[in-house]
Amino acid sequence: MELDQLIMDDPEQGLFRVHRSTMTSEEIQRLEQERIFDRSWVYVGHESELPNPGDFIRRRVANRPMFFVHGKDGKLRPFLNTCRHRGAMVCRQDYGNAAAFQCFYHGWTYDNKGDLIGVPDEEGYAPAFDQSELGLMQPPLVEQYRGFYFACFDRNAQSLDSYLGDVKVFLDIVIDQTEGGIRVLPGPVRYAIRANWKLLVENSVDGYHVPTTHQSYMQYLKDQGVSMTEPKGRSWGMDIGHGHGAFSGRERSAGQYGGVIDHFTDDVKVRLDKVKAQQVHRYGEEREDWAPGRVNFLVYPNMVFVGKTTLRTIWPVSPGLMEITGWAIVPKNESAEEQQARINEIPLFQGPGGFASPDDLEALESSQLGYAATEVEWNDLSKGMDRAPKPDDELQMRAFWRQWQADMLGLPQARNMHDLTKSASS
Amino acid sequence: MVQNKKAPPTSMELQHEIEQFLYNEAALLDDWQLEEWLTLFTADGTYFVPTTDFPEGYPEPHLALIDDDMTRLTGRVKRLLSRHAYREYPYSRTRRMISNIRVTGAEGDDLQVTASFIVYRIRMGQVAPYVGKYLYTLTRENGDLKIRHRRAVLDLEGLWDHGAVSIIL
Repeated sequence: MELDQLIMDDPEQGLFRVHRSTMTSEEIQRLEQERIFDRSWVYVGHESELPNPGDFIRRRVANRPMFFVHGKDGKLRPFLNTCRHRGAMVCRQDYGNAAAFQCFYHGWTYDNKGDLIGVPDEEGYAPAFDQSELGLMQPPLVEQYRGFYFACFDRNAQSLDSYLGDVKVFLDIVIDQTEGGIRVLPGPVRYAIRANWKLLVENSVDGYHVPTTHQSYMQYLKDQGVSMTEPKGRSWGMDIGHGHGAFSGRERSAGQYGGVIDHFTDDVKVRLDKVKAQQVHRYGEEREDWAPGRVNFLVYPNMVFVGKTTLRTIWPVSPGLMEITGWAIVPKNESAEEQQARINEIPLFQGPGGFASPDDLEALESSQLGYAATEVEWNDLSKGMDRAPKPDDELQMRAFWRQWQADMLGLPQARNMHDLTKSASS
Repeated sequence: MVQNKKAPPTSMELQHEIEQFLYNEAALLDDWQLEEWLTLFTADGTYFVPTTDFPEGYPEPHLALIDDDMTRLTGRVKRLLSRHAYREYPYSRTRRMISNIRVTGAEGDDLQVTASFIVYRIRMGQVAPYVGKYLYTLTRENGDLKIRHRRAVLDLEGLWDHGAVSIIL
């Protein structure tokens, strides 16, 4: 199958299909690394994870071992976690605080700004050996948006600001959920799914599967007396541009602040309602439903916000295996007690021990197993292609795939920027 | 949370009673007798599984894999038995190995008990062991042992082979 034949995108007919080899091919996986993960802006970490000079965290980013450090000069830097001498990883712990990082292999030592400050038996090196050129390396481009740090391995890439485009509004909504900004908490959930990474990207912005895949979770909410009535606000799916996409679930009391809000104290509810009103004011009438509703959104290619309470990254390991890390997000200016009340709601729905995510895993792994039947060649993502997008339509997934195709083919922009124009006016 | 201190003297009878209690609990879980398993808890019982980064706990608010009070735990069991918990329907097979059972503290009716576990989950061609330790607070109701707190602490660095904690650990 030729690369430019993998997506059948026909707005006239209202049909959108993706070839299943995109989920199984080693060659496509290799090209994705080269053309997507090595060229896109990818998430590294949040400033709140490194509050003090010397703080560091270790993680894999775009298939590279990295660590993210708060330098003694106050700057936050992601480093490639490999000694400039012979390659051993210089940071060997997931969390910590250090003034310096010594490679245990031969003892080369770097300070927390990345400078090489110690080489045992320095006299053994000729004058041409320049220690000042041998500091820890960073990705070619590193930028942040309001505390979210991203890296890009293509030094010719557009700026982060332009790459994020309108998805910045959604990031703002997460950040400004109270006046004090947010923290991304240490101690995320870490798990793997035996399925292609793009299946979780799709699933993360998929409203269509909720009533079936998650019916037992919905039943639990009903049993708790949570109102499951139809929405009073609007609900929608959205192509945000550059592969970013979102959907707003129906505005139920559950999920509005990330869980069953009955568990929050009245004091917190009053405060959250005030912030909601401020957000409606800030983002205007047209976008008022962005703020209070339950919004899931994708920052292309692999960073997902679920509601305003969690953030996950999705990294491919092989065509049939992905690794996920999921962090809790809390407003900074809430008390530890209030934060804990929020956090307690997260594992009910989400994460590997929740009432919902395990069934997503099962669906994704089941799909991946299904792809072994290679006679069935196409996945269908046509839903809602000729109407105003609803959250349980598939526009936000088509937006991802259109950018994916453009990146894989090296096109400056997606071939079809939109679904059929007649939906635009409705 | 670290419970390496030397256990106080425990009578053979008490040790035996606790071991039998835990073995019986394991059998109920392996046999998917989950409603009966729920009756082992006190009304204020809790079941908690921390995330894998900080098995010994973390001082500030942090995410858990599972953080159930009895309302949520009862809902968890109902869901697992509903045939709509698709990760676990058809049911997985499980086999629990429980050992190193020690009473590490006692206060009033409450007993602190630790045990090591390996819980094998077998399903869809995969065999994945969950390895860790239990931290129990057991208590007495009408003479019977009951579970007040049950904490399953994984030694795993992530759920790389499992994907989820879809069974009761």
